[in-house]
Amino acid sequence: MSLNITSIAGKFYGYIPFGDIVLYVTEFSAISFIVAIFFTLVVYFTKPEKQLESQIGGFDTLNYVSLEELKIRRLMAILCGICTAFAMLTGDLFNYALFLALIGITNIGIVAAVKKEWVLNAAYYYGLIAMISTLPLFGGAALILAKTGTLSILELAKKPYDLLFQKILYAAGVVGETGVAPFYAAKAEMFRAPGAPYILMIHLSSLLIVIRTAEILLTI
Amino acid sequence: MELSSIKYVIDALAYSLYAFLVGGLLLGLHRKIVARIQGRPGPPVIQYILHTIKFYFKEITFPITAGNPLYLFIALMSIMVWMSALYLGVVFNTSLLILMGLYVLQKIVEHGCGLSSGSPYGKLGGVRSVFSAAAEIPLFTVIGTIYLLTKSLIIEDIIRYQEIHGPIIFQLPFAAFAFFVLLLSKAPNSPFAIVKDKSIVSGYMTEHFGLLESLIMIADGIAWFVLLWIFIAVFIGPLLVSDPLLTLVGMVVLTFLISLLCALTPLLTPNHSVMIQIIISVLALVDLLRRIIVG
Amino acid sequence: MTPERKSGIVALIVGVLGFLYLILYSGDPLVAYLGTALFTPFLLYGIGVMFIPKSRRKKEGLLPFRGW
Repeated sequence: MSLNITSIAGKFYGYIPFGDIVLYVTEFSAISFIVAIFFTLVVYFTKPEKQLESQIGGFDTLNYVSLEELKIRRLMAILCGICTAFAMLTGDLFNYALFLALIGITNIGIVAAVKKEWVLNAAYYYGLIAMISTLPLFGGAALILAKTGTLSILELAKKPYDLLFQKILYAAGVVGETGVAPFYAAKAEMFRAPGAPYILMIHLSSLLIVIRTAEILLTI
Repeated sequence: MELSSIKYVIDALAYSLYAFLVGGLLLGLHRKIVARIQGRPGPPVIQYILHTIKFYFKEITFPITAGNPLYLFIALMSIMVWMSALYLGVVFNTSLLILMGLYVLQKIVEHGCGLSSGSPYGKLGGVRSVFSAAAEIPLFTVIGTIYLLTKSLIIEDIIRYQEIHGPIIFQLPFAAFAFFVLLLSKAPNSPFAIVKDKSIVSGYMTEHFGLLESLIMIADGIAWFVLLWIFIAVFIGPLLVSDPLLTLVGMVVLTFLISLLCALTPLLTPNHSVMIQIIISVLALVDLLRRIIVG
Repeated sequence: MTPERKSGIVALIVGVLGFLYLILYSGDPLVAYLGTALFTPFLLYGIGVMFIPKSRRKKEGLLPFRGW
């Protein structure tokens, strides 16, 4: 196996030819895959927490998450977990971008059922940023395809290509899609919504994606 | 029945016990030094370990606001994360990227602790932990710069590189500084420790008391050992890592430096803490881009 | 039985089964080490819950004065 992959992500355990989609397993991707799946299971079993709201001149009230709201949010959180898990394994830049877009959609879905104005506003802004950043994301992948003729990470790792501009575009797309540092303002408001396990899934997916992106950008 | 697997399990348990004891003692030393600088006698050095044992025998209840089993699981997960980091990093010397992944899971633990309890104090601690995720960006740039220099992220290769070329701390002083700030942000009472600010009671650990707090404290002890070890292995190299005793000396010196900084600086407000970390990460990013373009 | 004790017993069972599996079937050192990291916290929690002293309160497990 090409030295690039083993010197970044640890031991190479093999790849799974799955039609067009090639998944490959390294030490790093195996561990993060297991973490994502494990967490998805925990999210499935967890009941949402009840936030305590203090009232002036009365008894404190508990904020319950209704069953209807819980069902759609749990579904979205589980989808988000599965997408994250397979984004860890995929060996194709385009599929990775697709998984990312799907994670963005499910992230909005997780908070969209909350009937709180500020949460919905934050989700709306995050959605705008995610939509805008699909352009550099897919554009970066397309430019890499145009320059090298392949999107497979395994192929790209074999030869050294000069892909600095494309990588910066791709990274900008990922940053917007996961909503890290500069775009954090929109996403941090989303974390204030009640329902701990589902909100946590948003956080976990974006963090794992950022690390995986660092791995991909160093490899190709 | 294989005898070798029993040996592996016992080795693993012994190693994590060692890491916890060393990490706990160093955290105790940290408290002692901070106290002495502030003119107090301070608790004995073993105080951290005593606390852990004391809390281990305390009663717990699940708060009515908590979302179970996440509330319980997140405390177990914090030990899992740092024990895995200990084995993957210190024992197997695997990729730095995996260790960073595990470090990032620590953020999930902090956020999850705060959120799952349903307490407003815990929630504030958790949200602050999300905000201070700005501290992770220098981490990735540090990884990038190290990769550009050594052409590998496997810790074994990095140590071997330093055998030939000398410690990386002299070649990448800024990366070492960014990583040191990360260590500092993990230390209790440091200027960046906004997640455990006393103004929000105990931060994310507010509702995790008794046994669960003891488990989180065990994880914190191991975490301190692992983070110091990674700093020493990646930036100073075989000079200290080759001998466990020298590694211990290095850890004590690092803890001393960090305690000095913690005692002499005030706790920053969340905005200032995040802004300073963002400035450091931007500088680290500029450093990385300069190295990529200049070559 | 309080939910705490119940969770402790479940954790203890998971931990013991995990360690049995590790000791009996795992040959690879990496699996053995990571498995130890995975199952030790369960065991620690399970044993810790068993050490909780018997409560003298009427309603076991419910602490009084929790802000209500």
